[in-house]
Amino acid sequence: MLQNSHEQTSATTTEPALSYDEMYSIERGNAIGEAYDATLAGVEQKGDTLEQDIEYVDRQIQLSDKLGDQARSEHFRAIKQSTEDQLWGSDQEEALRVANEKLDEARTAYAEQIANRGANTVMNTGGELMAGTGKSAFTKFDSQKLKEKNGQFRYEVALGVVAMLNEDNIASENTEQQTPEEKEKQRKLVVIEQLLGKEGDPDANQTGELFKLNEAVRQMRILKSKLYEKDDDGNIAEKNGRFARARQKFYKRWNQLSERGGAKSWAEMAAYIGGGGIAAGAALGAGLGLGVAGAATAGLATRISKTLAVTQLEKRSNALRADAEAEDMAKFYEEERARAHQAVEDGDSHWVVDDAHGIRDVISAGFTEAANKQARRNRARMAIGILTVSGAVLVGSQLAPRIGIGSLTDRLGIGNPDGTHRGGGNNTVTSSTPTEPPTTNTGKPGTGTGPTTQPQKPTTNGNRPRAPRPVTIKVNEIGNNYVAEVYEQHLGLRRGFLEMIRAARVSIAEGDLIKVQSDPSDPNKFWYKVTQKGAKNIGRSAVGSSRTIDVMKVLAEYSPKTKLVY
Amino acid sequence: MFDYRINEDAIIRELNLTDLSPGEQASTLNLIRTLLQDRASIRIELALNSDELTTFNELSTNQAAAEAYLLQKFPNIANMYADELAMIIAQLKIALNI
Repeated sequence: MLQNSHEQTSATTTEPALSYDEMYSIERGNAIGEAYDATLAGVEQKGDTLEQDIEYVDRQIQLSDKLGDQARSEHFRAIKQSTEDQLWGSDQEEALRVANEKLDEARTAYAEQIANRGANTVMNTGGELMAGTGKSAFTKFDSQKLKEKNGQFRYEVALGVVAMLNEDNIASENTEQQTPEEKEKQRKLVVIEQLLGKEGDPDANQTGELFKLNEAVRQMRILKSKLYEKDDDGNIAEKNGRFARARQKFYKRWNQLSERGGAKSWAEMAAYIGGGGIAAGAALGAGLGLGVAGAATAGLATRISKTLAVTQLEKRSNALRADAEAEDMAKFYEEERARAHQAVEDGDSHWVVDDAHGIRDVISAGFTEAANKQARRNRARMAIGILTVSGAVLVGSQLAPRIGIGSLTDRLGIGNPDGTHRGGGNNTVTSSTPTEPPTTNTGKPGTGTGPTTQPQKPTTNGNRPRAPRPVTIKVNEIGNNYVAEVYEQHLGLRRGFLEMIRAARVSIAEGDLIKVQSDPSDPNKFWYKVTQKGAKNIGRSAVGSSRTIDVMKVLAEYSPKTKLVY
Repeated sequence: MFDYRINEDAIIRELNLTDLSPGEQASTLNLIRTLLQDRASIRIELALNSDELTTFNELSTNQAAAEAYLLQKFPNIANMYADELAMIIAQLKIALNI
């Protein structure tokens, strides 16, 4: 047991370069494997739920393959097959049929919800602390994957989404019959049960999300005890060399936290160590411990095709939270740009950002960290910028109120203060049919006085219009920089883009500098650069939470396909 | 574990749960109380070194002795509970959109 949590050793290791999560998973998986060995031998089962076990065993298979341990891999494959047989029995086709049916139902209801509320709509599907409402489930709708024999999980996911919609009084016959007071009371009870479980339920500590987070912390403590032990002389020593990397990461974050004056609470500590940021919400959602908490911290960019099939780009989420490397940054940027381009070329695709709060946290955390994290910050910003202008649906972010979408529209005079409608004929809705792309409402302009944008048409020779000359609006002096690439076609008119800049001038403090210029290598894209004076003196809130995100909300406001779901 | 009394009325008001039935309110408070103890136990475990933890575990069969030991180790234990309770309330308020 470690006595002084801040002590460190300088041991090195030659063990395989497995990640922290992987090493952690091996330990966990071995325990489960043993439990299943016992199960297969006819002994009482000691594992978790079958679905969870399959996930764990799956990871063990992947890790075994990565380690090149064929025997281990085959061992776990056998366990998986046995577990799946237990879970599914022989009626998989029927289960898949029901699952697909539920998915269709949920998709339709969700699309209607979007359509009914219009663009930039506030959709309360839960936030960071509302785990299990189905926000992420929506982003994972993928009928193909449903056929990959893990339909039971997907089926539950689909039901979760339906439940989410019910909570929001959409597509629910029961709630439609309730008075507003009854609905509100019901909503509270649902939230309480999600977070705290149900009294009298012996498994409350497994169902209540806040209890799950406690378990995550306990796992952290167990992990800590795995890393160190006392030798015979009472000295602290590393228990096992192969944990060296995990130890280094663990104490790196632990010490970062200490430098900040320590954790305000156990939750903050767990969140910080787990994800390198305020990842409590992610931990709650995952409920599986540190590794998962970290993985869920960053935003996950997903793209929806015509059929709304979604591929989750987990590698990109990892890239977001990885330590900044210029090469990584360039690679990430190129990939995102290519995908954004493709989304437009397809003409009927847009993006979904799951856990958009993760991106926000990356930004916020970035400003508290060292300067060499600049690339990481830029990546996160670019991700938001690209995704918003390419028509993203931001899910589970609580982003809209925090970046002040409503207040922005109020300040700009282009819509209602609550952000439910933007004037100037630029209100945007999605089709109620989920297979169709978002469309632009060309109805009567609103009462606001904001700018008007119209879709830009290609020129007669088929080429896209040339980008405008660089435009600089002086609002501030040079200080902190950020660059977000925006695409002309996403923004509609060039004129609309310039209006966006003018709008930004309103939302950003007087004296800021906003520079716009076309890319020499590609006239169809712009560089959008904001510089501010004395970033170091402005402080985190002014820079990270307000001003730079102000720009993002302007992008969102002027992106004809953007929806904000929080 | 340390017996920390929560202000039930204040919590109900803070969470805007006055429209819940008395039974629902009581159930919610019980869950919060359980969660609070759970968190406090983790926090204390994290703060104790292995020897102290062993001592505490040995004393835990005697409620009074265990509490006395904790008070000796953590004179501010009530504040620790208060911090955790505040965190719980804050998280619930966010989830409840308050």
